[in-house]
Amino acid sequence: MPVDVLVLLLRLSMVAVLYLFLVALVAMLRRDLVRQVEAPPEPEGAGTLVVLDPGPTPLRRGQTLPLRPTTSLGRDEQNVIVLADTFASARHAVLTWREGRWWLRDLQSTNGTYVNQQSVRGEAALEAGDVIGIGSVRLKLSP
Amino acid sequence: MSDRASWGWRWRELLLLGFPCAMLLLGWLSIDLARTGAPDPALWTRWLVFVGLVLGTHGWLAWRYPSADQGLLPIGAALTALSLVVVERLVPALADRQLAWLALALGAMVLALSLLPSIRWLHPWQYTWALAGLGLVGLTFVAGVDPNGSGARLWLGFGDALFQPSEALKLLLVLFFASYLDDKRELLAWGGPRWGRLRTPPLPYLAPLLVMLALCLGVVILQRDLGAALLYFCLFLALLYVASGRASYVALGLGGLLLGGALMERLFDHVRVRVAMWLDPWSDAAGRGYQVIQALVAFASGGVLGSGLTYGYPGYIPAVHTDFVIAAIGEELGLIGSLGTVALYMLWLHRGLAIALTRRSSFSTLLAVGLTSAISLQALVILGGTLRLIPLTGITLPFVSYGGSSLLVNFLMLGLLLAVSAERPVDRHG
Amino acid sequence: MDKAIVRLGTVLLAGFVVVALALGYWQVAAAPGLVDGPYNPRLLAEAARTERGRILDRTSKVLVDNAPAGQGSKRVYALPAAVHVTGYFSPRYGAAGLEQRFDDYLSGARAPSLVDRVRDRLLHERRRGSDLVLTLDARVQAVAAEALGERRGAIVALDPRSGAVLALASAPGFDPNTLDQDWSALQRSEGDPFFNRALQATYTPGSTFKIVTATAAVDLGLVDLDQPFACSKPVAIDLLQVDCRNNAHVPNLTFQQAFAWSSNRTFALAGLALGFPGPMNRWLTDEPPEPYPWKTRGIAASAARLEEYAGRFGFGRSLPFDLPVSISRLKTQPEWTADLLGQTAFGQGQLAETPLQAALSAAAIANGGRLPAPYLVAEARGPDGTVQRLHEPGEDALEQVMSPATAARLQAFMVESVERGYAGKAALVGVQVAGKTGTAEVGAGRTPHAWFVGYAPADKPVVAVAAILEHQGSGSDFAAPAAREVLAAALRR
Repeated sequence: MPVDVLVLLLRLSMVAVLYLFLVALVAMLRRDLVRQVEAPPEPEGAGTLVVLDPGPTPLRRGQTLPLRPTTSLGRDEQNVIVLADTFASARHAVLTWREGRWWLRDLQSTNGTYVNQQSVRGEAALEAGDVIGIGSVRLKLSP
Repeated sequence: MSDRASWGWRWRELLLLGFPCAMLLLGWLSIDLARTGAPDPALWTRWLVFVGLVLGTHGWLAWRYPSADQGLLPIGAALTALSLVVVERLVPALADRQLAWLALALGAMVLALSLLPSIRWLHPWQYTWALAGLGLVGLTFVAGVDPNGSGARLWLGFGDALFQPSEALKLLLVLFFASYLDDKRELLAWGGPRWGRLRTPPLPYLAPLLVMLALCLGVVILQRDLGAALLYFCLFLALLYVASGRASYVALGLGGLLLGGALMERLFDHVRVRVAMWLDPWSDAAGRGYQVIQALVAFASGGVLGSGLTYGYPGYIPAVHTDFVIAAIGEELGLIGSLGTVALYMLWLHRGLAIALTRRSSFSTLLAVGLTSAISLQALVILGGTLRLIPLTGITLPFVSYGGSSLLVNFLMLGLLLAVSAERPVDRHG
Repeated sequence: MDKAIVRLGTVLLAGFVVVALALGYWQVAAAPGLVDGPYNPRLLAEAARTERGRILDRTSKVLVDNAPAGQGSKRVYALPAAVHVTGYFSPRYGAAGLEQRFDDYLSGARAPSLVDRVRDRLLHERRRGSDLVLTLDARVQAVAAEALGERRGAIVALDPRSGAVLALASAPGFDPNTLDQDWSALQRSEGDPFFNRALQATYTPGSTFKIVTATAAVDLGLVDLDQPFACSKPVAIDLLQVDCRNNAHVPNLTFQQAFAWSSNRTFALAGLALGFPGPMNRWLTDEPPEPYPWKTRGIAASAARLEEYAGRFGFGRSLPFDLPVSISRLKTQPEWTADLLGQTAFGQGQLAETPLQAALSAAAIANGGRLPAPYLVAEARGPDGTVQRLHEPGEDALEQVMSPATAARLQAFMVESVERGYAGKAALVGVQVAGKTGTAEVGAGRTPHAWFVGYAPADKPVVAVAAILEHQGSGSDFAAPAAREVLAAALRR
């Protein structure tokens, strides 16, 4: 075979190998995707907080507060759940739904956030039935 | 690919790595045959070095990170194989050096991954990362060198080797952005005061981030490294958007970018030239528009099938083996070659974001997004500039351009992404 | 966060799609314009790699060849006298002439077969262009250039039967072998040596145009060729005074003699009479009947007849040719006036004619009234030996200008002109030459242009010629002898 034909074939096969590589990668990606689709979907973040102790706030004992995937708590009017307690900070804490569970994060509040009477540093994962304490307000997480 | 393989060994990665190895061999053979009619005896040794490096890394991953993503290393290897082919074609004298850099890069990646206790460990060092990056770039003011006479002293010399700190800053900024935004995520989602329908970011919480960003931008702009500046800013916006979920911040950011760009166009001559040569390179075809036009002519000469390796004339384009490497690929490998290269970046993007979407800690997610979009954005900045989609701002094409520090940092980023993909779900008190 | 990641991914992916589309645009859609554009240094590099085709004359004598020079090769022009045909090919100054017009053949861009083109593109073999075989005769060309000498002017010789151009000379010329050294001097030099006078200069034809007027009069049957008339007094046509100076020694003459002695008054009046029923002889005499018909009935009909015949000869339209040719014109102002029509009929006025057009006019007479299509490049010979004929000789005569009988009459006029009239210095021993001289007035105080058009042998024409010498004087004394040399050279073939 003349060298120039060989050079042409080598070059074209180099590009062909590149495309084969892309095809192989995409095929594997697709297989992953199919497996992900077949996996059971995770339940979306749903749940409520039950007011155990309203403290000085206008909340009622036993009242249920629906949660959003990101639910902010604090004194400020912009919060999803407004806690009119002087011991609550303006932006006190936030609940987020992630990886199939609720996470509570203290936003460096002045008086701290508590889960089952334990102070939360940074972020804590919650279980159903955990009691959140902010100021003198007590809220229970129910699924 | 990200799940723990039930059979232990990373067979998919091994299979996929075969393609880059074949590409490199075919490309190098084609070059040698076209040049001299016979393969250079050293070709096989050099090819085996590449194969050994790639397979060695693969073996190490199979041992230490068996569950890590199996697509990333092959993508990086494929881009590097392209790089080695193009560098051998354009500046044969530098090909061995690039191979050495690859060894260094893979070695550094393996070392970093063995020393890294966990992804979470990176989180608290946020300001250290940012200041280290800033310091490195700052060093170029004092000790910077300009090896190719581009007018920008962007490199640090270590004996014979050159290191470009703005590349390292890219990785360090990803670490900084990801950890900082992870801390302030919820606050950002809240937003600051409303202006009509537009919610502004809560500036007090963003202040440290913005100050750091401004410092980095200031430093690279002073160094005339516009490509890096554009990359950092877009990276910041991407991570801010993912952390906050607010498109309005991005809109504000892009507005700021346009405003800043317009301001710089007024203030700096070199920026004005870039914009003018973007709008109409033909107005100074033999001078300041020469590089842009020659790149376009190179693309055009390549056509669909390309002129063939060593048969084109990419040497007419200044900086072809660094910033304009895609023009050389387009000319000699044709549209099929250049589109294949772009497709590799698309797959990188897909792999990286798929890792980010696999639910792990929010820090890992942000880190994965940052690492993925840094490479993707960098590719877009230089590809867009070369193709006259945006004004040209010089930056390397990740993994493909000749350049040691670029390759080193890119493989470190690839390694971090691998580490993220290998992570298990975090514990209760992460 | 997931939604935001997917959105970010979509945006970045869209960015890559735009990049891919841009690649498609620059590499395919916009590629032809960029590749052939002025900013592509690859063209020169590729040209240096190409073995450019040679240019040969009709006897396969090499006119343009390649010689090794440094890394590549350079063009060697064996016959600098043919520079206005071959043109030049300079890496620094571009190309002209056939080197430019037939570059796609010479450079191999237009390879004879598709397979060759694909092989060339993919395999990157050293490209070889096709040779061009011309109709030009190197010897006749050399004689024509020599006949012009240092004088400005042009000579065109062609085969009236086929339209094949045998010689095409323009002076001053230059040596394409030393173009790069001489370039700036040539740019400054007087007489514009780059200008191809044979094809692009338009001159006042003078009396050679009487061929057209005479053709119209004879072909329309408007003149009694046997009846002589007196021509001794000037006549006034509006502001124009036309006299009988040229034929002063023959006061009584036939139309044929008026042609041979180039009587301006006869032809001015003939031009004005073209639109009216013949015979026109009574208006050509010293004592014409009053009123002149154009005074009462206008000149529109006459002008239309003259325009029609001039148009058939080739005036007013672009002639198809292998090199660009200027258009020859009857007039520049929009409307005819009686004096302009009169002047035009004897070859002055606003007439502008290329030497090629003048040669074609003679060729039409020689060819029995059919205007041949001129051509210069006969065939392209591919590197693999395939021959592509670019012109079939005589296949596409442009026009039947006049009847064969008219052509025969005109031939008699032109033979008379050579044997007894002003064109005597074109006569050859043993060969009957047909011809017509012209002395084109080019303004007060300036020496007129000397013209000659004709062909030989009159009974069996093989060569037609047009010669013009700028500002040399009478056609009889200057153009006819020059044309004679070319006719002789062509007949010796």
